[in-house]
Amino acid sequence: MIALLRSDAYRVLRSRWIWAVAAIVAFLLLAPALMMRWTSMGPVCYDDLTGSALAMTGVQMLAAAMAGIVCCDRTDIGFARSILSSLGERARMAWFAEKCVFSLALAAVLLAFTFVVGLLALPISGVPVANPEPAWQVAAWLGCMWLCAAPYVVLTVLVAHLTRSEGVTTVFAVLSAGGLIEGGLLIGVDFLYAFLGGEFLTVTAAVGPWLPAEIASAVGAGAQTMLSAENAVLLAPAIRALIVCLPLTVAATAADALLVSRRDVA
Amino acid sequence: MNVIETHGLTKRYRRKLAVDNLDMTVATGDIYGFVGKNGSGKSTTMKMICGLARPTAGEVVLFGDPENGGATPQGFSRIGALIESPGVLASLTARDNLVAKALALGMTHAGQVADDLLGLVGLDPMDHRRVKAYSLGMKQRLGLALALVGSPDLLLLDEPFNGLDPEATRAMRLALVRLNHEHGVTIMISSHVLDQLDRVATRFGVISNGRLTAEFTDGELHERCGSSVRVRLAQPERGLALLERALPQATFRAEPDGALVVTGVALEDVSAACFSAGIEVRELAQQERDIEEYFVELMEAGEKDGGAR
Repeated sequence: MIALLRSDAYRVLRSRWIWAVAAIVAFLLLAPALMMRWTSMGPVCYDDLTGSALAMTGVQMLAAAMAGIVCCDRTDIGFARSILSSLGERARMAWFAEKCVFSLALAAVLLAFTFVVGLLALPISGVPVANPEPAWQVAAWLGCMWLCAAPYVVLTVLVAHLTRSEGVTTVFAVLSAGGLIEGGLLIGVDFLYAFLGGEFLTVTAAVGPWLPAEIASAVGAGAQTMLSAENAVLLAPAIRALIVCLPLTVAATAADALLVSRRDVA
Repeated sequence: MNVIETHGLTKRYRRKLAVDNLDMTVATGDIYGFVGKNGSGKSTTMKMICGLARPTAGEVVLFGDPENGGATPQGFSRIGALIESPGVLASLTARDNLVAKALALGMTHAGQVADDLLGLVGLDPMDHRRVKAYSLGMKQRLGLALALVGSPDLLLLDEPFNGLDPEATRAMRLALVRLNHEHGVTIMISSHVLDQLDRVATRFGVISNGRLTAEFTDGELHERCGSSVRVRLAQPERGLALLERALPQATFRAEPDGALVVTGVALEDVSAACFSAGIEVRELAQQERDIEEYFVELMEAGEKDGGAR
């Protein structure tokens, strides 16, 4: 597993796309900060660090898309075949599991990079933060952000291995991390429920708070919201993330390693 | 010892039976030429041997060990494969491709391994171009180098001569022979380029409709494709009767143009028999049987058998 992780890290670091992603993220965070400094436009003061000062929306979608690139580069299938033909049965299962682990690690690196660049952008913008959260809350918030991205990342890897299609995987990564797939499914179930005589949006009201996208949205609102149980289900989003996202991530990784690895590679 | 043994190996893709109850053996040190038409089941068989595809029925025994399929204790296989297209990362350099695979196999000194293998297949380790700029022949060579990472004991090569110019073909052929002779690597090659295969292979297997229709050694092939004598007579029917009497050890085959093909005797014997019997000869020539023609005959015979089943 370590050898496979080292190989993937080498492969990604030697690729151009990863540096392009880093440059784009840095630009998207630093450019507005510079604009604020030069034009003196923007807020006078940020309320807190995680809720308003650090703009980390879209990181989950980007992490899922990166997982798609790692597992589904259209030119890479032959390389995967070359490695898999050199692996025994058990090592082949490890290869599939490693793709999930590597994509999760990449998501963590992306999150950390975005956070660090975001912190750098704060003094550049010259906008002060009124009530910055304690370090442990910021760390917990970052961990929770990663946990919310994890199911989308691993499901994207699963879809990449199942479909072996870059197009399908990319569309899935964007739609799923954007919450459109689960939202769409839920609305569909609601319509069905209403069609059968139930009240429209009853299912959404009951299940909605437990959807990964909904939990991610609540966590994204900041560390205070993440730890607060003052919501419809009276359970902090951080706890809901542990209950929903963690098992989902483990289940998808297990499915990839144990079931998808048994399929013919080519 | 047999490096590969398959017993009743079968692969079915929905309605299509790609490989049908295939029994084959490849011994240590063989360069095994695997010959068959497109869609005959060559690639599928090779994929099943290296574990990229699961058999529907039957089994593959590698290195005489049915338990771990020839894997090392670390879980790595002793097989290197180049199946279908060269498995390369087009956005990286050739050296990066090899380093990535060497790292994946847990090798230390991955850079040194990459440089050595690039040298072996005739690519420049200092070439900083990305692989997408390579010609097909260069990609094939890189594919071979990738298959060689980890010093495999068995090399599976699917159409390795595809897209190579004559010089590169020769270099590839020599590299394979050197690997076999100097490093003891057993090699299984499928190829349509029969004249190249004939120059390197020590054993042959012919597959048709997913079934192995013939297996023979290089020596047996040349025996079967050995020289014959073509003779055209003024009176073919009378001449054939006289020659059959004069040369009882020979076998005769009539050609569509009326000529006779005589095997099992030398040209001088045929000439002397014709002279003694007073047969008027219009043409007398030594001829070699075309190996390609022989393989095509075997494949077509296999197809007829398959059709009859």
